[in-house]
Amino acid sequence: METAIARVRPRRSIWKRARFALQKYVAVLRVSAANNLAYMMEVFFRALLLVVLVFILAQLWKTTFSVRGAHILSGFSIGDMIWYLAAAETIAMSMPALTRRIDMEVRSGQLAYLLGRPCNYVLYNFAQYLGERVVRIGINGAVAAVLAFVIAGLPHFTWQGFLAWPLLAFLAVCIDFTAYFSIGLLAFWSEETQSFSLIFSRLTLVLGGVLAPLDIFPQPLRSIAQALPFSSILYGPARTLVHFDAGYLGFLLVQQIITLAGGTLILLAIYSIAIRRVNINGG
Amino acid sequence: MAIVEVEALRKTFRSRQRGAGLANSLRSFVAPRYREREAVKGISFALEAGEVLAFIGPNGAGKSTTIKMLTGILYPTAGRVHVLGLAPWQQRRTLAYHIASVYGQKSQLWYHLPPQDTFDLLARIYELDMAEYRKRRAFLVDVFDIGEYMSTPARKLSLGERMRCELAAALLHKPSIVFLDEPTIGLDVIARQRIRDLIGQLNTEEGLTVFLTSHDAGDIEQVCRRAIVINHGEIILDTPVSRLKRDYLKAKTVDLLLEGSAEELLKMDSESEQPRLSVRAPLSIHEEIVETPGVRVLKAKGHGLKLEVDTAQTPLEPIIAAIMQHSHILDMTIADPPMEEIIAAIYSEKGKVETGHSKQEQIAQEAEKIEEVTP
Repeated sequence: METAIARVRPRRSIWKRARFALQKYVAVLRVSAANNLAYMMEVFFRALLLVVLVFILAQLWKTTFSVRGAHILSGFSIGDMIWYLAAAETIAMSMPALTRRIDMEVRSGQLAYLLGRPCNYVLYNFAQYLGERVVRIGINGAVAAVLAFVIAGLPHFTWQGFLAWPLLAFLAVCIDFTAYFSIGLLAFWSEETQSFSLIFSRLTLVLGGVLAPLDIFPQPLRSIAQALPFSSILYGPARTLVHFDAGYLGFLLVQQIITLAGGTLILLAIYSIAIRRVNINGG
Repeated sequence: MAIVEVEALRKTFRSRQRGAGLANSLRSFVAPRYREREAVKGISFALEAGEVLAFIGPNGAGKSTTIKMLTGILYPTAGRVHVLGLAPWQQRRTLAYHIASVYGQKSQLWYHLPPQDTFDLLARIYELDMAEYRKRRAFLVDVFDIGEYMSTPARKLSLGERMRCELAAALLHKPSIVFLDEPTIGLDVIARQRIRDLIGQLNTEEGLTVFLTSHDAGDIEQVCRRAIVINHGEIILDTPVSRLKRDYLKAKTVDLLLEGSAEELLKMDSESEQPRLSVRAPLSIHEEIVETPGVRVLKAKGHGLKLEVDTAQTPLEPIIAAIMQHSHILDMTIADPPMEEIIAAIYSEKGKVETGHSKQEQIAQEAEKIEEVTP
């Protein structure tokens, strides 16, 4: 019997297998992006919430700058501040409902379809998530850039910051994936995973620097927040875009890679335990 | 050659128990209590290549759990399974290239995209050669007659159209076995028939082995040649479908909506003192419907008439013809007995057999005793 199967599937070199695997997950990413682009207007209107948030925060910071009579606060001008907020919100508001999707897949048994396919469940979901997030970041970024330009004029980005941002944003969304996917997998044990997801997202918003750059925070809160992994998701990429600093970029990359490695280990540990106790509904 | 071998397969689920009220909620948080439920209780069977097997049973019988163990999604608690010579939960990825599964209540099509996109994605996932894939897709689009739906977003397709696309998608990689979990659930009569025909056609033309679970006795009757009935995780019957039909699927329920009154139709004719409705059987014997052997009036109210017909005793055709002579039929549904009734009948039959066996054994033992005593 095994020989019959071996005949159907010829042995492939490791490179060929890697190429097929890559094509597989790139195809998932493309389909996921297309699925999200099916409702372009809906995605666009969702991005309008970002306009409201950035606009309100910009007005608050304009008032703060004028009350303090300052042109620079902790190294940020009002223009930098608005472009920082636009960059941070672009990432923060592009997070899809990953935890809810995984939670539902586990509870409804939809997971069965993916587990029954010749692909890795985690990588499949990562590709799907990335496709969804790329579309959202693209649209959010365009809307936020137009708004920031209208309110604050042209940004003072350096080309290094501009080039570093895509890599840093990519690592940030990967970190987000490990966190929210792991929380979604908790559905194997917990009856409610949304509460964990809410805690993580609120911590990211507050300690990640979405309301203000962490440089504004008083000590020791600033040092604590900068050391925590949340800052590598929002503050780090946004600050590098607005205020490029080669020394900080090195620190940030190390922080992101360590956070991503830690998150991946946790995710794989949870996944390997979860998959052994798959208890799909409707059995 | 058996391509699926199952031996003493067992699956036990453990679920947390929670009592009602705040105190019990807190107690279950501090000291959780678990309940074990045996979903599959040591079942054994084998499936030959090219067979079409119906794996049937009521809700919670263990059908889906068994499918999930055979496809490697669930880890069994005990037992041995080989599908195409592979242990599914240990070699799930390798096995996945050679099997397909379709779950009637779940969709693998991308909701906002046309099936075409899902097909292309599956070609990549199953690592198909693109030229071969295009040929295979053209063949399946033709067989399933889904050409006009290939460019329509899945969300705009009817359930029947979507199910045809789901089946075609599942067969793109030419699987050796297809596991169909309630593929006709929720479909109307025409769509259901179409799916049954397609499954039959693929089995005949491609030698596809089909493992089908269903609630619907009609699926089994028309598509399968062998049936395994499972209840409470145990196999209670493993028999050819012809026998299942003969013994357990003979009582059809005919639900009619008539133009005239059903009560009037069944009234005795005052002149001839015979019921107005009579059945002229092929042998030219007049039989009143209410006295026709194997026909039972379940309900006759207003325009609705519900009959139970034992097809082993009386064919359906003359009964319907007789009704049509007296009244127009506005609507008609012919249903198989519900799964619960089939299972009750199997148990009652088994009970008789077992009682019969024990009686025979008793007689034989007594005879042996007599022989021993008799010099």
